[in-house]
Amino acid sequence: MIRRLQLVRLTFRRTLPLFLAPIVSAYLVLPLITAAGLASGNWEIALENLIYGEQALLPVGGLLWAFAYLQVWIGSDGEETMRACHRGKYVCAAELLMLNIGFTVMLLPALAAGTLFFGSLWTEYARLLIQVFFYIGLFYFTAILLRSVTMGGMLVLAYHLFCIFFCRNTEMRGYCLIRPDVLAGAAGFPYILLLLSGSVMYSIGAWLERRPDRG
Amino acid sequence: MLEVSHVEMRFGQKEVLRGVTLTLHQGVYGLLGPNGSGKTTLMRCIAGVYRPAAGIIRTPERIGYLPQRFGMFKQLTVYEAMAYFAALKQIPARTQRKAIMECLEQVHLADRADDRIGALSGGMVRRVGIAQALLGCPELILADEPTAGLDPEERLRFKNVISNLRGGPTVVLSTHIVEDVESTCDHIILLYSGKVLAESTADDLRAQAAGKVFSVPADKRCQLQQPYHLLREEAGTGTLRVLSDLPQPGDLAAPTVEDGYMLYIRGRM
Repeated sequence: MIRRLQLVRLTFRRTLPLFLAPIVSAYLVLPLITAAGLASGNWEIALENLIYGEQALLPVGGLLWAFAYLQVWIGSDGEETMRACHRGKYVCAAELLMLNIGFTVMLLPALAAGTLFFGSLWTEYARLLIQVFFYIGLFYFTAILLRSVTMGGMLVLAYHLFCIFFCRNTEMRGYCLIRPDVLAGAAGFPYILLLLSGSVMYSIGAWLERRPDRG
Repeated sequence: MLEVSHVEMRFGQKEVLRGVTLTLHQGVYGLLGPNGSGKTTLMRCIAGVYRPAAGIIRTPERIGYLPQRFGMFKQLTVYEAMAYFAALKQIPARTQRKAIMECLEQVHLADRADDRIGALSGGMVRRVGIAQALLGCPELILADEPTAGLDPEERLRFKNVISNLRGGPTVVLSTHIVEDVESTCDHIILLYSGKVLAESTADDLRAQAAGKVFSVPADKRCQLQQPYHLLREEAGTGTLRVLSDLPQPGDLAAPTVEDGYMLYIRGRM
């Protein structure tokens, strides 16, 4: 566990901007756009701004953390050396779950502060965490499958943008798992589906990663 | 000990390894073969990076591996990069510092521990690669083209590091540079077209070529008897170095490991 944490710490040491981006989003950008709503004196607009910003930025933030970690392990110059340390049997799933937990903890104070202004936002928090879990699972699976963190990241990002732009489209919103237009709970959000599919993708990703290239 | 038994590997339709069988004990082994002979693929199979299509590979628990393409995290310091590998190799935290510094000392980089990898020369990065391979007291060290890109001084340093490992782990060096194998390896394995041609020693290879290497004046080129194999034209002396089973119009030359190697490879061409 400590050694895995050491790996994560050293990885973030080399990818500091990717590590800091979600923190800046949560503790600088979101408060600013919420404050802009509050400045208008309309709390509903402020809450809408917060939800929109949170849904647009933070799932991508979780993705960035996973990207920062996996880019060392998939397709990098050091991959071969690192995989040989465990005879090709090392999988990154545990570290990704640790990042998930770390991301959860990192957001806690921000959401707690939001709760002071807007009442309980814990359902929103739960939704966000499940979305991040799903995104990281999807990214892990696609990156391992395509042997490219860039391709995997682009796919997840493309889906994220699709959600942001089409969540208000009545024909398309059924496909959107990111819903900046509604509060958690109001959308009849498929939490279980997200959790299950996220878990399945984590598992398949780990299984694929454990299988070295076969001739 | 390393055991490789009937290992096969193919990429698509191309057979890269064809029933490779080897048993390696303590000592320094040179895996020698021309480009495309399957050296890197075999090393990757042994390191666990590739899974062979068939065959069995039995390795010790602790392996040190230096791949042909060794990339490091340029933003990290030498020490941090080593710490990364130490964590990967599950070296206990309390002994990590000592283990890392010992390995860096072996490759004469202890005084550069706090330098960023990005600030090092290519040869130094390669030495960091060797240091990480030594980390964790491996019982088997695999080094794929370890001297590629090193200047003569760095190559000499690397050979010294390998020489110091004698009596310790099993070391396998994969290379196409005959001179490296000649000066560092106790045993030589010739790989050609995915097959083991021979397991030999430098002395054996020289002995194989004895009486078959000729130094022929360039002006007698037209008198050469077929079949022969032109090894090279010696610059400056104007002589040809020729490998042949038949007597040639020139003097017999002292055979080298390279001559013995060419004798084997030529026989398969």
